[in-house]
Amino acid sequence: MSESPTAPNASSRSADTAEPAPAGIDPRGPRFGAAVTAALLAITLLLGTGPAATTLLTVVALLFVLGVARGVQGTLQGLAFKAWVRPRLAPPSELEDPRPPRFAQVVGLLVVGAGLLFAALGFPSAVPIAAAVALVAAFLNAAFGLCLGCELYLLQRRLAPQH
Amino acid sequence: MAVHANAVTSALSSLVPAAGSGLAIRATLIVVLLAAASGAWWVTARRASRFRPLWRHPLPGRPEAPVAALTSADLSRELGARATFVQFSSATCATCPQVRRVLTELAATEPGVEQVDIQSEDHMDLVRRFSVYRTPTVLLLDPDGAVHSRTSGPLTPARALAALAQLSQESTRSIDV
Repeated sequence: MSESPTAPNASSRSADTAEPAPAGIDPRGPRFGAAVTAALLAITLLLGTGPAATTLLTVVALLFVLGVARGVQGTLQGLAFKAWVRPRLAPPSELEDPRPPRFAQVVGLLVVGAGLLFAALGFPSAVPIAAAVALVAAFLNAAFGLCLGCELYLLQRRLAPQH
Repeated sequence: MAVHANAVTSALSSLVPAAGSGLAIRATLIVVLLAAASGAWWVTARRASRFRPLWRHPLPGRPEAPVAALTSADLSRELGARATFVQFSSATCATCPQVRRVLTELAATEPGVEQVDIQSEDHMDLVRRFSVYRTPTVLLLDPDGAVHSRTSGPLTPARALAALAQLSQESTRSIDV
């Protein structure tokens, strides 16, 4: 309560974010990527526990690493979308800020990474559990455009210590 | 399609020993999981996209909450003579630009209606004060700055207009009384 709010941005643009907004991306790109991720996670779940499932979940984790490092447009799914899917679609009606889906990639990596970590520590059921959680998020993103990872951003900010 | 699925199934069962019956169970579980997720999404989205009046009933054992209100000092600008839409946005919010466009358009066409965009990261005090858990969240303020109703998620112009009409109707009624 001590900090008194300075003028909230009254105009239509969010000018008070420090860095300029990066170039927009086609919003269908992340959804296509999420569909691919969801398919991989569904196969992981079908495999149950064992080396095959762990390997596939590791592949998904590596895809998330690419997304965290380069943004969703830099993942293999993003490149595939750009090369094969987007040329077949009409131009997008609007572009999307690439930062929210990139944050969601961080959340996805944390979930899948935790599953792999616990599996390595001797809890093999962590693989299907992590795959199930990530599958729900990827499926909701692909099917309805809901970015579950993005929703967590403000919750995480609220949990940060109050000053 | 069925042949295809069978081929995949047998391929998977050969990959994983003793997966035959387990596979059917797992496939069923996946379908149930995704159906449950879709249902939860549908219910949540339906509920969130409407403007809901503020919950004024106190929790048991808690004092009655005072009417939540924002002043022009909080916002560092004048409130709308008729209504003010306060939008909470954030850097990782994919839906915020769409909602901002709807509200900016509304503020431009409806007399006495103002639109304020709050960058949540910079105003965590307001985020906590108004129990904002997700972005975009939109508060609709009456001319005195009291929160009339709120909504979150994607917003259609029709929904925003309906909430505005509701607010105007209630204000007129209270003046009559």
